[in-house]
Amino acid sequence: MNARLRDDARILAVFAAVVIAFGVLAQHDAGLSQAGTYVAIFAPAAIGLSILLGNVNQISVGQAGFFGIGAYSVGYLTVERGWPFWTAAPLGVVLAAAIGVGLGFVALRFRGHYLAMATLAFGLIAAGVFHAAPFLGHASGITGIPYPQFGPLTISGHAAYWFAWIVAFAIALLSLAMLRGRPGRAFEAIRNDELAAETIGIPTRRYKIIAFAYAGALAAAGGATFAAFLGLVNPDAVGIALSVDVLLMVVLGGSGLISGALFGAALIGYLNVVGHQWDNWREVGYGLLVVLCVIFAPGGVLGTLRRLAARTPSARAAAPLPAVGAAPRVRAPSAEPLAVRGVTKRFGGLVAVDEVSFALQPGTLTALIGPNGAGKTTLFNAICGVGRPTAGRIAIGGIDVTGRQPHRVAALGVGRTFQNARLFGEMTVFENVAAAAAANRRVADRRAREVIARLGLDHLAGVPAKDLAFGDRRRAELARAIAAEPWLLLVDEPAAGLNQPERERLNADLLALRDAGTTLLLIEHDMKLVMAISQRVIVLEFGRVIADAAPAEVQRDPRVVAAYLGTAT
Amino acid sequence: MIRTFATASAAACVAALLAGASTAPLTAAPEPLKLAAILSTSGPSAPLGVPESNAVKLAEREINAHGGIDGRQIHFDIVDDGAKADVAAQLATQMIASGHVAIFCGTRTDTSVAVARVTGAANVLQVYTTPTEAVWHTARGVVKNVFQVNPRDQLEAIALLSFAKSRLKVKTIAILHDENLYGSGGATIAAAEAKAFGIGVVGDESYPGNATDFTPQIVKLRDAKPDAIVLWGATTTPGLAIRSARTLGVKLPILGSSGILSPAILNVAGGAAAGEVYSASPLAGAPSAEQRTFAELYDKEYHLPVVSFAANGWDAVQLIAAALRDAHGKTDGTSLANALEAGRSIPLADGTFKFSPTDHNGLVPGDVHIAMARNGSWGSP
Amino acid sequence: MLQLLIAGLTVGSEFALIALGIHIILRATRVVNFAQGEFSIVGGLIALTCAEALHVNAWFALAGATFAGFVLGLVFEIAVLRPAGRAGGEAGVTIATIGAVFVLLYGHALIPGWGSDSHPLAGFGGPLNIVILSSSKGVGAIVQVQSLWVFALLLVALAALYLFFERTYYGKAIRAAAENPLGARLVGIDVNSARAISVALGIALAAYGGTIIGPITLVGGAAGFALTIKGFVAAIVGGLESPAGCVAGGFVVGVLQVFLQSRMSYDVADPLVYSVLLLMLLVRPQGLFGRRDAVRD
Repeated sequence: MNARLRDDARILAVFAAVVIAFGVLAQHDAGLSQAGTYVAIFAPAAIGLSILLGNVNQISVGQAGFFGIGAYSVGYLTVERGWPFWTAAPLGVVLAAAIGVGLGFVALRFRGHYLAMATLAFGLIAAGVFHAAPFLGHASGITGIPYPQFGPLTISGHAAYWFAWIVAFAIALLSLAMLRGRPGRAFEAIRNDELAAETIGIPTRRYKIIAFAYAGALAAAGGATFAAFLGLVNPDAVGIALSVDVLLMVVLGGSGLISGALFGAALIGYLNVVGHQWDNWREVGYGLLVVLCVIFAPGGVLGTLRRLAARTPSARAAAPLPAVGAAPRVRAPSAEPLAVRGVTKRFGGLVAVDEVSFALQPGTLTALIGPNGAGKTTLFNAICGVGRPTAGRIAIGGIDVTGRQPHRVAALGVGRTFQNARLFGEMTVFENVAAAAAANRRVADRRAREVIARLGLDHLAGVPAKDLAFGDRRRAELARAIAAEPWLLLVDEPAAGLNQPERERLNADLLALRDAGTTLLLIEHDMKLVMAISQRVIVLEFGRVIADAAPAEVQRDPRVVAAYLGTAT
Repeated sequence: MIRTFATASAAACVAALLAGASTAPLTAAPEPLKLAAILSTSGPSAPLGVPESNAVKLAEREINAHGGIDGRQIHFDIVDDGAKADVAAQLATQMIASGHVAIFCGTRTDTSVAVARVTGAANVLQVYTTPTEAVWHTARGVVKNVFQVNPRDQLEAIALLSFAKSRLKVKTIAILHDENLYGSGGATIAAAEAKAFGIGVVGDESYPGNATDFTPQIVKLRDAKPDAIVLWGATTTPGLAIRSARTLGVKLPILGSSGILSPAILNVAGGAAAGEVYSASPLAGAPSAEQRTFAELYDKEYHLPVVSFAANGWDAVQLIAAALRDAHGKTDGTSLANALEAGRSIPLADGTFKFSPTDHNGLVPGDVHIAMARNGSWGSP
Repeated sequence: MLQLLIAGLTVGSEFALIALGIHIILRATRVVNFAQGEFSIVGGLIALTCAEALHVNAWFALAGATFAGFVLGLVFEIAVLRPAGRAGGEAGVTIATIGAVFVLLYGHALIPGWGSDSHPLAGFGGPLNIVILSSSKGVGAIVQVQSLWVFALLLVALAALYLFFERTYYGKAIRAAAENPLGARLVGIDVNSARAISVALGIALAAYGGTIIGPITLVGGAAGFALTIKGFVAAIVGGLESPAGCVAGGFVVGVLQVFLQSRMSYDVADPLVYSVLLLMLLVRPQGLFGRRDAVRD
């Protein structure tokens, strides 16, 4: 488990102890008890936003809409239809999750402030619907919502405190489990580099939608409890002001940490009640706190405390490059690993790739060369599913993958590196490789260890990727690309910026992969490397193939020479 | 063994007495009565909450200056719920837990309802100042411990409509109201009362609290050709609505709820250009002795004109005081409620209150008068 | 019909100014300023104070408010946005602007004389006169003189901004800095100053807008955030990345809002306007007048 989650779990344990102690001490103080209950009621919405914002980097100003769905569901169903809380609340949560999926689809299209606005619009539309729907009481909302009944026990007063906190902690633990598991690792990869995440087989769209639905469901759970304990719900209580309050909690407490969300909820809850005499100054204070937080303590209170307490990262030793280990044999596909037929890619009037056709043989290393702007990376993108080709078909292992999403192409057994190594900066080298290695964590960890050892990255396994030296970054990205043992590997300018020993090491690694049966397609400018290790060279110029033969022939081809050096006038 | 026990108990008793004696003041002056006011002095309802808060402070001072209640001073803790119902509920629980015996809450209906749940369970007297009677008059009957210090929407509607029918010969009306609870609730009640008076309702439009343009609503209402427009709103926005109507050439009489009875609104409405505007309010008409006293005190202290919210705040405190006086030392909700329900006439700024077990508003249509705008200020019609 | 159109255009002017201010600040900081509406409210209040405390006429009050807005904008950029961007990137700046909403919305109520109430502001052409426009068919519409002032002053502001950004060296330098900070630095443009001035202009525009619309809508109160949101809708509808689009969007949204409210109750009309925002984001995020490639995805 990564360091952040470990710390988060520890802080949560402390929090639980505090909540229990508080619960025992406050059992005869109705005021304190109720204040504590309301913190637990708002906490789930904050946890949901913390995950969205901190883990998946999706800013949402619409949590109140989901809160309202939960609250109004309970309100309407218990008061108008006589349902018990125990069926009304889950229905509200499910409804919110469904709508969250919808919002997630919408959110896929946007980033940054467009996303903020889309979620804001959702929150406003939800508030408008609550106000306009005739059966929801218009401006007065729904009053007289009863406390939940558990057999003979009415859950009110101090019993409500325990109930609300049990729900809040259950949600916290569930969220922690989710973040520890596959969704969490996927979220982290997506947050660091969405495109790279796609190319290692993570269905980014699906996970973003899951994140929205989850955050919505959590907020609705909070809303359901809110309605039952306050006894009423109206549009004002679940309007934009609440969305902003939840954002406040997450920013001040520490986004990305579940305990941060809880802390933020507690802080705001406490200040709202303790600061009841400060009137407008209180709210001005919140605004100033937020600004100060962003500038001086971006991780919120808990995030900053965590950072201060963390050990300094281990020094990056420039260790000598150990010998290359043998790669595991790769299962070769039955058909051609890669067949490109008549692929064309147009950007408006510009033809970047023009009727390119070739097929690769299994277990070969082919170089794709050409002057800058020849369309090489564009061709790579088309093959991997980053952007649909304008025309033509691409088959990988005999399967037509034209226009498929990158994660589905990756899932077939394709690995890829980028021109500017796209690593997950905040994750360690080990985590980067493990993220790609396999879905099952144990298998992934084992494979990651093997690959890291094989590429000589042992001494850097625990270093955050953003702290790596340049050459090490490329090697780490290569490690990630081969972690899932792909039988087709696309490598984009791997030698750029490497020094001599690093280039030799790279040669050895690539050859080892080829010898193990991997089919490699390599974009490179370094002619020495190309000549040394490739069996076949394809030359692109202005998007068209102008040569496709063995290295020696291509080197002598006058058209290739002209393309690189220009014709003599 | 028994000797040890006896010695120990004796020592404990002495210790307790000493402790009790040391904290009891030597002159044994009674502790002030702790009362709470949970108002919305920040946030969207602040224009209502701030005058209420001002009036509470004033009333507290006056009552204490005149000897308090049966010799005991009163002390009001005024707290801000920020227009949030859950914060109000929490504050109420805290106040009750720390010994406050009556609560004035509040500025908004949702905070009042949320607090009512708490005061009901704790048997504490609660007084509130919105015109919605639903806080004490629910589907399940009268809520024993909750009293309303504002004239109900029904009273204002009856006053307006009977005036309209008899003096202005109005046969049809159209309603323009704020979309919030106050406006929507009032509009519904006005429509119901209109039916009772045989006045037809030919239009109903709402506007948001922060509206600045009313053209679509007024055009629609104008096209419905009513004899008069009933306007239900508060703060300065209705003033803009009136101005908008006059600018668009709508010269119909405008009948407003008490929310529009303020000089500021007429100013916003365009002064003399506001045309024929009426308002039904307890503060309209010739001021009663009580109203005069309050207005003088308020003006001296704050140099501000009396708005209905201030009068509400004053009355809330006075009512709580009256209940405490009449209950002769008892402070639980039931006793205080019984004291009020006994039906003694209590003349205050909003009228003469006379409660009963089935009427926790205590006012009658006669307490509401009609004011008319003339040359930019309010006077009698 | 015509009446509704005029009302829509008047309301739309306010949205247009907010949207344009958002656009200017967006160009400079790559972030949408959630507090734009609040600055508009504060601008109007400053004009009120100028007019009442300093006993100046409406024109000086307008100048005073605009100047104050400019100064506030400089302070805002230097003390809040810049450090927030350094520490937290674009998300950080966005959240910082939300913090600013709190500070302005509740903070302005603390200033003596302002409070939470709305106050009337004296108009430009004397009291609010009424002008009746009639078309040949005798179907008339009533236009307030104040509305005409709003349109006129809006055009003045647009012209001034256009001249500044398109014709003066400094304006062009600011545009360059916004478009390509590194390149601009390399040719000697002080990118930090350029950004600060852009934000200052955006806030000044907000204050200007709040003042010219003040005689019609009152100044002060809690309407700032709702105004910002309508400004967003306008900017998205017209084209967030296009100044002409933002202004056009303001008018479109104003007219749309008024027409929707004339057809159905406010209850239903309002969510519909926000649905339009969502719809535009989905179908044509670059707005009616924006270019396709302007939306970076």
